[in-house]
Amino acid sequence: MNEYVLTSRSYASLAVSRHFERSKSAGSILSVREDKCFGDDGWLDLGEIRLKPGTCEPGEEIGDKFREAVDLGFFEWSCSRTEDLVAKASELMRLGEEQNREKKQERGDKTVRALDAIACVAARIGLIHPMFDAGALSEMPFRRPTTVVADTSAVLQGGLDFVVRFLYPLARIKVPAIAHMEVLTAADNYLRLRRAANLKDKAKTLLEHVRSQGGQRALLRLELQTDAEIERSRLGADPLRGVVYHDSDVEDKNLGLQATQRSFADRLIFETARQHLSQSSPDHPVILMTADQGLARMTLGEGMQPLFFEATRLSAVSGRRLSGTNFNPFDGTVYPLCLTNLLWEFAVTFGMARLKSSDDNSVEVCAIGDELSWQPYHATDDLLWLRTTSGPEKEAMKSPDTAMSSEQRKSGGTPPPEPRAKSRKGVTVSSDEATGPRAYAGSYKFSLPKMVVLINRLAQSGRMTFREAMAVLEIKSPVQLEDYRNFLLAGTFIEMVDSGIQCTQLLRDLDTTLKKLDLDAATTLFRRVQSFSGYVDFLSSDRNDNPAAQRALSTYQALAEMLGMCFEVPDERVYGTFKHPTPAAFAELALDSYDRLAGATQRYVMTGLWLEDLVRESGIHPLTSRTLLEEARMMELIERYTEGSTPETRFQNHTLHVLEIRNGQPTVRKLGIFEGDFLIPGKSSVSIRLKRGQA
Amino acid sequence: MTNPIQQLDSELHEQVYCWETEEDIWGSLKDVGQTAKARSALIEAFDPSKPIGERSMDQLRKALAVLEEIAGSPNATDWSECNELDRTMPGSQVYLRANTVLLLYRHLLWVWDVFKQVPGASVTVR
Repeated sequence: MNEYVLTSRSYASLAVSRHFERSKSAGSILSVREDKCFGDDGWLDLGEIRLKPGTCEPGEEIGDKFREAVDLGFFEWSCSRTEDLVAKASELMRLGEEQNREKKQERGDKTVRALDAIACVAARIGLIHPMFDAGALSEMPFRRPTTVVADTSAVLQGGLDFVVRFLYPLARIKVPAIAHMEVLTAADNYLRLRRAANLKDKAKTLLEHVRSQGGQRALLRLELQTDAEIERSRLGADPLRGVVYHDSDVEDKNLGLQATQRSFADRLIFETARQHLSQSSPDHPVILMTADQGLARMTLGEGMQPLFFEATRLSAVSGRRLSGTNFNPFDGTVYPLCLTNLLWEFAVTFGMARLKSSDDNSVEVCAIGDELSWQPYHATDDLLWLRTTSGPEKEAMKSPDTAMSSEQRKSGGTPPPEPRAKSRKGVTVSSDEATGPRAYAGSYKFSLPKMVVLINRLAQSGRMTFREAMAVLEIKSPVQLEDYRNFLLAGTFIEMVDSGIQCTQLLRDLDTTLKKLDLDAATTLFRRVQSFSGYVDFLSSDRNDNPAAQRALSTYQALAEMLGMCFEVPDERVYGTFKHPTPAAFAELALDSYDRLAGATQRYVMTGLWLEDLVRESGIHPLTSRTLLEEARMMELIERYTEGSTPETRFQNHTLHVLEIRNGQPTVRKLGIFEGDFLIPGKSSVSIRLKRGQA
Repeated sequence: MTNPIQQLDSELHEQVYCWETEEDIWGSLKDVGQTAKARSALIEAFDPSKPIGERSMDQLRKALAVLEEIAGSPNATDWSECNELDRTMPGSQVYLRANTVLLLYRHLLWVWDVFKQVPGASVTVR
């Protein structure tokens, strides 16, 4: 095993996909470990994960397929059975060695309750749904804004995540301070047990661990990783303190609050809901979400509606086959769940999570350990410690957000100033080929306007770190940088250097051609990218098969469109537009097209329709038509008359990408060919009438 | 999913849960022979023309057993492309993949778990 490296989820996805790609077997065993409770190297197997990447299309790389499968939830998890899990966990914690029968029974019960966290993890990340009260489900999805006040059980057992995932934004979420405090108390209990010299009750420690860490993650995820807005009420004063701390406060003593009162905590959660109800407009529904029957009954008794769901138990996943893609319970669409999210959730909840194949390849994620530090930015960036059995992943993880070792992190160092180069070999080719040069024959997906900006900035600076490139592209994830970089590498426009990328002369040439709006020269240069060249050949019918992968089609189409080689007529198809007739020949084609549309009346026709007819019938790009029309007019081959009117909204998606110069820099923007000033910039020309010229 | 609001012979029911999908739910079936079996257990068994008593939650449990058997049979189903595009990346052309039979089974199992004890609840499949 390599040493632990602090890693973001996106880079862990890379390691996970590489793990499956490298493994000889199709599946890997998912396991969790609590380092203090499970003894030396004890892991609890939760079942098998099988990845379903599908087969490669032409132009796709197998590594990309695995990556997609990990990111988009193309996996199945065959969960272990309850009896096996309980038996194994008991064995790992040596519960059988306890002589006292009562204690043995009590610890056995705690173990079962702790293992319910497996189902809670599945519910929190969306693999299963909470079992709602039938009456409550029939009111979903909400038809008007409704405030949902969540209690601690809703946070821990997946109810809150369900609301965020499927009922937000009509559901307004409120997490009472007492829920945070209950989780905090559990965390305090867990850390106290963990730090004890002699760990007496491992089952209790495990239970406190999964509750506190799982709960804190659920709350942090809600705050830091979702768009959900949480409403917070003013924190109440003294009574709250009595709930979670044994205090010598005189007032608390008088009130008899020295013992922790579960029911009092419930009451405070209910009071938060009622306080919110009193502050809302009379017709605004406020409901209290809980898996606690007592609290649900009290809520009903007090005249408010509970959003009750059954406590999430291990039986909900025991022996089940769960899928990483699932049906939305309300609109029937399919939604994906990233496999790395599952690993992350398990790692935080239990301490460590691992995927291990039968040939001993493994990926291990760790959230807590004696040798590992924690700092707030770990939570804000959702970073955990990751290690693998093999080398290339380690290289792959030397990413912008992961370049420090555990030792550096422990010393309290600041985040890495610059990302390191990621080994491309480790990502997309098999291990047998890992030492050979990469062909970069894949298809790459990126934003065309951003790519043009990157080319320009890189040509100016000559060299750029990954972090600078990400800033130019306005992207947060280093993984998103990959396609930009790979496309430029495929055309040898850039070279990899120690801490970033360096432009070649070809990139400077490309930038110059773009600045000159020399589309022919730019086309020649862009065709250095094998997959794009193949796509152009496909457009021009020089080849029958489209070599570009499906995921990159929109990018390649936009690029070819900008270069004047294709145009898509919406609801028809993409047409190749390679014809560049002489002005005289164009005048004939233009008049023919106009006659087809106007008929004998010689009326005005929509400019967009005329341009699309030239695309369809003559293979002439709208930009070429625009230029040639002006040339033909200057040569008196054709007379054109235009008329302005309000463009019809039904044609607003008839657009094309156009390269322009703004402030001296090349930029790409989308233009609507039915818009008023497309044909003659600055003059409204929604409709056109053509007449043969005098020449 | 409907629930009787009055115990009358007129069988007046209110709809308490409705779910529809545009996905091809049988798209993952590799064994064509199983399609008829699955359709019979789910579509025909819950046809609205059938008496309500024959479309009970207990009947849904039996349909789920058929779906579970099919989803669990080796080589009977496989993962296939869905209609749904990856929406995590704007403009993405990557189609999601799923074993739709397994997904349907998992979803209906959840529905059954929620409504199984509702008195007089019945199911209609169109």
